Amino acid sequence: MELNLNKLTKQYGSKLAVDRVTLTLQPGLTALLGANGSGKTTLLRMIVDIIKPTSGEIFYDGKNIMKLKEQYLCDIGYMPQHLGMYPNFKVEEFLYYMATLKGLKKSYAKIQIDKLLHKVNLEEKRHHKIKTLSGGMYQRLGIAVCLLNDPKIVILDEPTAGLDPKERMNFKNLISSISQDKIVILSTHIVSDISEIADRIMIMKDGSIISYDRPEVLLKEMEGKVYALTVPNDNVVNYEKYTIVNRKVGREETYLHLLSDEKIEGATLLTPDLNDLYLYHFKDGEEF
Amino acid sequence: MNNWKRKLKDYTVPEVKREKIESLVELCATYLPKTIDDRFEISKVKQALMVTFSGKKSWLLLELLVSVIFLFGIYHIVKDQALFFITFISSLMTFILILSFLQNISYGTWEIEKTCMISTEKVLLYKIMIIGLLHMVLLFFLSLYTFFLTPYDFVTILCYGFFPFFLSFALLFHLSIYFHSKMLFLGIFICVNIISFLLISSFHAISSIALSVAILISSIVYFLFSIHKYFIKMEEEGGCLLWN
Ligand SMILES: Nc1ncnc2c1ncn2[C@@H]1O[C@H](COP(=O)(O)OP(=O)(O)OP(=O)(O)O)[C@@H](O)[C@H]1O
Ligand SMILES: [Mg+2]
Repeated sequence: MELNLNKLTKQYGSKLAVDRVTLTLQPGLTALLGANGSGKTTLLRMIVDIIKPTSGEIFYDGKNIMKLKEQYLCDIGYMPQHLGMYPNFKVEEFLYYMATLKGLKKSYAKIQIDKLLHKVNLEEKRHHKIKTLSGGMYQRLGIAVCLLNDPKIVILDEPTAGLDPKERMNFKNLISSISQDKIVILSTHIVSDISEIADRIMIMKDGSIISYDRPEVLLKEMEGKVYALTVPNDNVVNYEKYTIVNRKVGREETYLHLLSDEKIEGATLLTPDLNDLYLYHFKDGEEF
Repeated sequence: MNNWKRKLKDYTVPEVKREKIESLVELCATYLPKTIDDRFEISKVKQALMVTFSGKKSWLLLELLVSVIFLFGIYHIVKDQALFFITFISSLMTFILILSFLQNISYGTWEIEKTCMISTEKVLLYKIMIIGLLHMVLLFFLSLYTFFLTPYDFVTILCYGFFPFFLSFALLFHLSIYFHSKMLFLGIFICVNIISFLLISSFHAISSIALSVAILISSIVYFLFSIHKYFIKMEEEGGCLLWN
């Protein structure tokens, strides 16, 4: 099972949202990291075929998805960033409705719905209306909808927004348990959500993929670029030119956690983590 | 015995060409049934029915209510204004019908719906086909009923009944390609009522049934045209309908 993107491009007017993305996706969890407006949502929408690329193709097991159409769609599960569900439907009712749209047989849908409601911890909300769910429950229902047809390709666009730490952990476990034999792409800003479980990390910037590899490899590249040092308070200005990941101001001295390409005198080297990696790539004053 | 052993030692398994196996597998695959998976419903009719009648069904109730009001209304109150009444009821029904379609698109669910096997376009198509047909049958019977109760001839009644139905459909789909607004919906409902009544009765006043039939047919053509246009637009833009 393999998904190939070939020079995928999407242009909105003069704005190039996704710029000639070429890559191969394999089973496992691929995390898509990128700042706001870097084109993550646009890329994922093209992968699930809800918007057409300006140019470029996508191949699923060597076949163009434009030709596969329904065969491709029955392998897809998608959870959009702005999840919309009918507020007046009951949870179970909505799941059945979506199962119908996904073309599932009623008998199969019943099994799946029971299983998934248990998995996302929404069994007791089964007969409640969607508008009565809290933000996090709503999000979890979205995940259940996405997995209804037992898809082989799972695309999640910022699925963890609004989950509390416990649900975040549950979610992490759920995702890593399904991602062995599926192609899972998860876009997020929250680095801790994908640390430890991501098989590959993809970093997107201004519409292009600037790096795509296993986390160990990416972190290895970061080695020797992360420093820690403690300086007197009035000396901090000298270090503002570096990317400061963390600073802790004391009464006389400040602890700094910095990223730098060149060696900093008197600083100790730290082991890089994914947060450092993210900030290293988005250091130019970009919000995240 | 020794001879045997030697022979066995020298024997090599003939190599099977990889391409040969692959081509054989491909050939077999073409004979396998084309169903994608046994998880999925294959019958298109079943699919269409499932889609049409899943989700909220309040529109069915409303439709029934309107029919009942019509039956009583035409019998008791407005017998001599039957034609206007049927025009009004017809576009009211269309209004309810379209409301049932819009339930699908008004909350931004299109993004997940579009990734389904039965895409939003297909849902709309199925609904237009099935509910539209139901609606037409209902309207036909109501017209028949009116025919027995009033002095008008059947063709006239049919024209008054069906013209607003097609016109409001067509206008709504056509205009919503260009404008995204909720007011449009209400506006069309009111306008179609007035326009269609005026149009038909003015043609009728010229006393040509042929003319009335002609505009009925042209409204059907316009209806088909605008739906076609709308579907093309939907393909391009995703979930666009009246609002999203
Ligand atoms: N429908 C559209 N019309 C015009 N421009 C668009 C449209 N959708 C996205 N864009 C532009 O494309 C770029 C990428 O947007 P996209 O939504 O893919 O970013 P993102 O990485 O998902 O951001 P976020 O992290 O905020 O969700 C942005 O600059 C955005 O303004
Ligand atoms: Mg996004």
